[in-house]
Amino acid sequence: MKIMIVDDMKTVHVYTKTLFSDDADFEFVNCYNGQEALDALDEGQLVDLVLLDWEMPGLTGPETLIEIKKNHPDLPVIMVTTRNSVDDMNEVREKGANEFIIKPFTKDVLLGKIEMLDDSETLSI
Amino acid sequence: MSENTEILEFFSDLVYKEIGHIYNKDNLFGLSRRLESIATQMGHSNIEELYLAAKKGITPNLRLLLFDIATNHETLFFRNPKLFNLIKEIVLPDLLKNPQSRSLKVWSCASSTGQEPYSLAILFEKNIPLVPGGVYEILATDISPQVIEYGKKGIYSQLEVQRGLPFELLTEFFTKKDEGAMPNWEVASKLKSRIKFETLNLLHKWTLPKFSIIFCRNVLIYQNKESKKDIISRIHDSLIPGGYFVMGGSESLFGLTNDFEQINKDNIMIFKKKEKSVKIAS
Repeated sequence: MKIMIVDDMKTVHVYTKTLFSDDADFEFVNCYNGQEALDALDEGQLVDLVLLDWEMPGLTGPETLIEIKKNHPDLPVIMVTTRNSVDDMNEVREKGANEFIIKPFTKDVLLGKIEMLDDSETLSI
Repeated sequence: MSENTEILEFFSDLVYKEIGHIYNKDNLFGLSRRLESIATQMGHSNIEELYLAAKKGITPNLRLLLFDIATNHETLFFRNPKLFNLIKEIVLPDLLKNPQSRSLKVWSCASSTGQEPYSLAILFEKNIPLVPGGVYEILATDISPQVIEYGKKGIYSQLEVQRGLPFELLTEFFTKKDEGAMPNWEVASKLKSRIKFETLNLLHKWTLPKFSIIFCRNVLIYQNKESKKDIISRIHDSLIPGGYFVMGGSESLFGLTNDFEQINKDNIMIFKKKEKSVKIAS
């Protein structure tokens, strides 16, 4: 699985990759702001999932989310942020976020969220 | 027999006699690590000291700690999502089809820290009230008083609510309890009011009302065949005619009873109580 990490904090990229350092099934594409992510996707960068931070210089996470969903509606996006208010969660859900992870997170939380996006395992109640 | 083996066998025998939980050779190491933790909690410097103290008599505190470690509290919301989809698609329509019996009683018999009964309450809350006359109540039981207290409070850490719970359900059914980077989240009172939490040992006889669905997931795997048959027989008696029995994903009733009809969908298997019982030989 190829995962695009969009976050201006280098430590988040390093931390996430470290969590999966013994797992060859995961590859990471690093983007440090929203525009860089949009450009990479528009240039044909193929990924299975985007992990998207909220607060970044330039385009914010929600602004980036809207643009991703315009051109790549089927690409799953998980917001990964320190924000944890219900209003924030509702805002990005309306904008098309597929899931929401609150930092700091563990490997099993991320894996669990990825599993929840798998059609065959999705809860449908 | 080494000294350490003698100690592990002493405690595994004790757990088996009290709650029927079997420690085999493969998981005795896990018991050893957990006994070390209990020894520390009780002020002993190692498990040998704990053993010497336990041989003089099992204090209520030690008994509770042993029960607590013997039962697997590893749990998450909506564990095995396809099972919950199946409950919605097959079980609820079947149970609610008769307007005279739309009051569902459901038992989560090893509820641990409450994620299973609360997941069920969310599923029911989103579906049952839509049916005229549809109401539900859930009994959540576990052998461990600590986990029952935990479930009753219905307050979960940020990490716990991120395990298995889709975020739209988090915002719909939980309230953030405090501010800061790692807040706790509290279950909505409309769900709490539907669930009654109680301690219960499945090896002891119970007197309970009849249930429409009984969840007993990943509990019987730790019991011997005789105890499994006994518990399953009593679960069967506790179900209404046509009621459903739900086991863990790797469990089956093969060789244990013929009193249930098996229902399969998407590699999920659940069991429906037959109208007429057929006893099988021991």
